[in-house]
Amino acid sequence: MFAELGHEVIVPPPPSKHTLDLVTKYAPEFACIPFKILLGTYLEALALGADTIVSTGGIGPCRAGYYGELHRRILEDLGYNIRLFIIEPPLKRPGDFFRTIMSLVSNGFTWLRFPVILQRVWAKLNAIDRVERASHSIRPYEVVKGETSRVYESCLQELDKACSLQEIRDAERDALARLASIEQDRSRRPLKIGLIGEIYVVLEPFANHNVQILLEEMGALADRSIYLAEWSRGNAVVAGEKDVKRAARPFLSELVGGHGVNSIGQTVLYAQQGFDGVIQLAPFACIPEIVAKSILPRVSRELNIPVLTLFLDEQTGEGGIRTRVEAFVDLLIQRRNRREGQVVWSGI
Amino acid sequence: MRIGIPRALYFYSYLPFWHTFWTKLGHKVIVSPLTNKGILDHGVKEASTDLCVPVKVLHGHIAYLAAKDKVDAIFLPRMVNVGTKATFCPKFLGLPEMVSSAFCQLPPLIVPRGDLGNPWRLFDLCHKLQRQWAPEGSVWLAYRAARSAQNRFQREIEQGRLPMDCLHNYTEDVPNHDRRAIIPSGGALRVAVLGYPYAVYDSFLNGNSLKKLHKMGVSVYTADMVPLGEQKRYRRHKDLFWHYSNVVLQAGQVLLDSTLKIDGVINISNFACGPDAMVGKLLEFECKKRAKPMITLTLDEQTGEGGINTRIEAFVDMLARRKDGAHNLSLHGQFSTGFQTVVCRTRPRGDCPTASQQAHS
Ligand code: SF4
Ligand code: SF4
Repeated sequence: MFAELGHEVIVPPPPSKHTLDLVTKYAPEFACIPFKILLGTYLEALALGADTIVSTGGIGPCRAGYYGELHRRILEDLGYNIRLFIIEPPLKRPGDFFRTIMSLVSNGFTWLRFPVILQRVWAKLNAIDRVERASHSIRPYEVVKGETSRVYESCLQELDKACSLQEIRDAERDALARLASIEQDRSRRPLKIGLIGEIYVVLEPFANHNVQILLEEMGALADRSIYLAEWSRGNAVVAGEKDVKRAARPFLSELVGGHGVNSIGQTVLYAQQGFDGVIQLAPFACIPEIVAKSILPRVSRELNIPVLTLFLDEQTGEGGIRTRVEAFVDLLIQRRNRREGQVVWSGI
Repeated sequence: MRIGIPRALYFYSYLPFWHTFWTKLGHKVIVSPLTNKGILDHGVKEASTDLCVPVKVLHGHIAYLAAKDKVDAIFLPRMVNVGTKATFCPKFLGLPEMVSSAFCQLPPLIVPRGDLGNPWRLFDLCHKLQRQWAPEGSVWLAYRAARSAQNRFQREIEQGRLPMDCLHNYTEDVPNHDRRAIIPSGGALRVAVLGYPYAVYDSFLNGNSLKKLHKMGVSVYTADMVPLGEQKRYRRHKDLFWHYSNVVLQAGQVLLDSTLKIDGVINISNFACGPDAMVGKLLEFECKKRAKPMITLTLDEQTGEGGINTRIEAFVDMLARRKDGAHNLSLHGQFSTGFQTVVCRTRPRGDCPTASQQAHS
């Protein structure tokens, strides 16, 4: 988007172990993992020569809303002289939003193009979301382990190259067709597991160690409660999600910031839809998710749905996650077998 | 009726009000004792493992009140807002639900929603409580008495006494006849101890550090000694979202800039506290700007008095040497930057991610 606004855009490399090593020195120990990864990403971008950083600010009552402010001070303290722009969601403070954008707009740019660009970015986001969803519904059935992921990766590259609306549409159609042609075993009966928790770690595979794919390769159907485009729509532009909040009300009536209430509400909804289990992903020391976690046992008890909570931080190893998830899946299979009174083939 | 009040979290700030209020309405108020080992252990057992220590301590106090038919109801308002725009930490907002999910058997909880944007709301809240729990009582008398008790308490604190020394009217603590304020006059060292009231004043949790400092002849200033009006001068472009965090930050700056000539800052924070991660860092910047040394003590359920005492002693020593004119001393050696973060805990952090499974089949 900003490339089209007439800036040279430096896209920092996707977060990696190196990103985190950079940060642990400067970030407070109990800052949440999204904060640390973001800060690390900034530092990497700065090392690549960026002089302006554009980021989004959240609204309270949670720490995300204060990230930008603290990031700036930490970077200043480190002696970087940069411009850090924090874009607030447009609905809350339309004035601020446009002022920030304005100050970023370089000369020779006509405002008329703005809607077009937005539309394109939006279309791409949505296309990626749909392709990703398709990959998730196919992976548990794949016959050759890992094939879906391979195909999906190459589809993403195609999508990335697409520029015009038409190209985006074509690339999406292509991708869906290629995914559909993967060899599948439809006789499996995958477990249905819901993924809930704090948006960033749910969305960022690096932070959650690819838990969704891990599950799917174990042969479970993992449903992620949040997708990127859906979230931008739900939270950044129009306020929605009423159902989830209503579902949460009997267990938690107060908004606790972040995604605390959503986590509860979605667990309730998953239980009602007959899911076999729920996995909650949360950054270590994440306040709203801890509140949710302390209430989830009751939800779990009353609605009879097992919940596994994974707290993630920079010390989390993939191995640890894998063992826990495997144990959880085993438990769900046993539960299902007991309920059905027979031993069925479980797909692992 | 016997109403139980847990001595934890916000009751370190508002106990006089609610104690007086319920008493005037004709109920007997039972306040849980000062935190002790038993209470802490109980809380750790009942509460979800990933919670911060102060909330675990609260669970312990609730467990104390709930045991052995001591009370008929427990008063645990959901504190949302006290008129400073900021809300309380999300854990305060979800408190009633967390507590009721953690225990299987509890006396009824009285959980009004404390959204107290202006004094009228507070009166309103009191009125509702009175209608429900003491229909014959007079809300006006109770409210007035409660207000003046709270004001008296606030004044005493602003004059430099510590809350735990002023609360014996409301609790069964042994009264402390030593009426001296904790701020002696004279040329002693002055240290600002910044942290949430329930961490700074819970002497069990923080290894009695205030008394320790006092004994070393250090004058102690806490955030609550700064009147709210003065704190407001330090509001920032984008305030933090949490009431207590703002108090700590703003009062901290008032103290640092005041004519008191604060020599150093001890920041008391809590293990696994979300807001503290931000507050600590911001405080550090403020101290750095003014070239004041700061030390951060992070409390957790295994904090021992020993560990904390050594830290405090070393810090105070350093301050004393610094004050004696050996300014350059602080540029070398142990306190090379003047900043130090100490996590006082014995539990290894290695067992993260903490995961737990609840399954019922
Ligand atoms: S929701 Fe959790 S991860 Fe997000 S800002 Fe708040 S504490 Fe951090
Ligand atoms: S502010 Fe920190 S210590 Fe206090 S309840 Fe919230 S997380 Fe716990």
